[in-house]
Amino acid sequence: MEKKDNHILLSDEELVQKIVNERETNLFRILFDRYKGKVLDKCYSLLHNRESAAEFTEDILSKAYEKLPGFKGNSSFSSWLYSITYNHCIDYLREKKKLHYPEWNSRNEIPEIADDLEEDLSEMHYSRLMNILEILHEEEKAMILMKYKDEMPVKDIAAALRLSEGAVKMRIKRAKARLVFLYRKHYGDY
Amino acid sequence: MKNGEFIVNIFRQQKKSVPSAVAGSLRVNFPSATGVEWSQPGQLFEAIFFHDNAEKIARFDSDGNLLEYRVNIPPTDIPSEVKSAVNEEFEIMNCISVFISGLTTYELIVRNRDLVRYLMVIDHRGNQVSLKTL
Repeated sequence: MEKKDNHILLSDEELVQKIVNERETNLFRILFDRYKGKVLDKCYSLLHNRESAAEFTEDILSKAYEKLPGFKGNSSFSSWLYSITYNHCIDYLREKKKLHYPEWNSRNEIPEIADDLEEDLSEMHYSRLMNILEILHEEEKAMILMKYKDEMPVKDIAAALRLSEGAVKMRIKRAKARLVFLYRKHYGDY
Repeated sequence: MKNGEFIVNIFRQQKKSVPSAVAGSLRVNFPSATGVEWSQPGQLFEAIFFHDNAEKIARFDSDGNLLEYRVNIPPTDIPSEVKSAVNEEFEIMNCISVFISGLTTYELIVRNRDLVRYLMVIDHRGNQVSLKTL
């Protein structure tokens, strides 16, 4: 027990190293407890179903455990785990909900792209922006969350969503323009 | 950061200053570019912006020379030679044209019936250059 308590002070990457190289598999419980809530939140934000989100969280953390030997430390453990999380959820939505971004994008063209994305939009209220985020396409929403909430590198976002880096950058650009357009449409000019 | 506050930061990015030769080159090559955002991969300068209602990414050296640029192509505008180069078993999910040193290639994301995704590169004549599982 005391040993486990000391391990709680270790970083994610140190824990992974001990689990993989020293076969202290019981330490995965610490990572599990550390990330269960965060993974659950991410799943819920994309699936909008508590039962499915809880089920997915268990699956994702099991998957992460199996893949741990493949974690090379090129990015942080959290970034690596979130890549698995988003990949799992988006793959599910693409298959079960028949997500089709190109068709959705064609049906939801942005009539006017603002040129002042970086000017005074910081005055926008975040709770309203969160409402708008909910009406974006799930893939655009996932990209915004990955880039700006989880601060994942474009390379990791591309790998998680099975896209090229160029496609990720362009889709994030479009998602931001859509956020502004929809914000103005729903709430006027701030 | 409270849950949700991150989203405001999307629009609070620090403005990156770029050499005037680079900024000038963007204006010359893409005169009506809007929503320009700069980043600096290595020694290069990269701009992502809207131009002619399409997302574009352009890379410059520090002297302002345009080294390459990429253009997002909507499904309806994909050239016929590119479409015909894609085997029927695949569906095109994304298409970007890439211009480097006077040569044009097309970088496609395609998927098969089992939803397995691939990165496919096609040259300007419609020849498949590479196919890689994503």
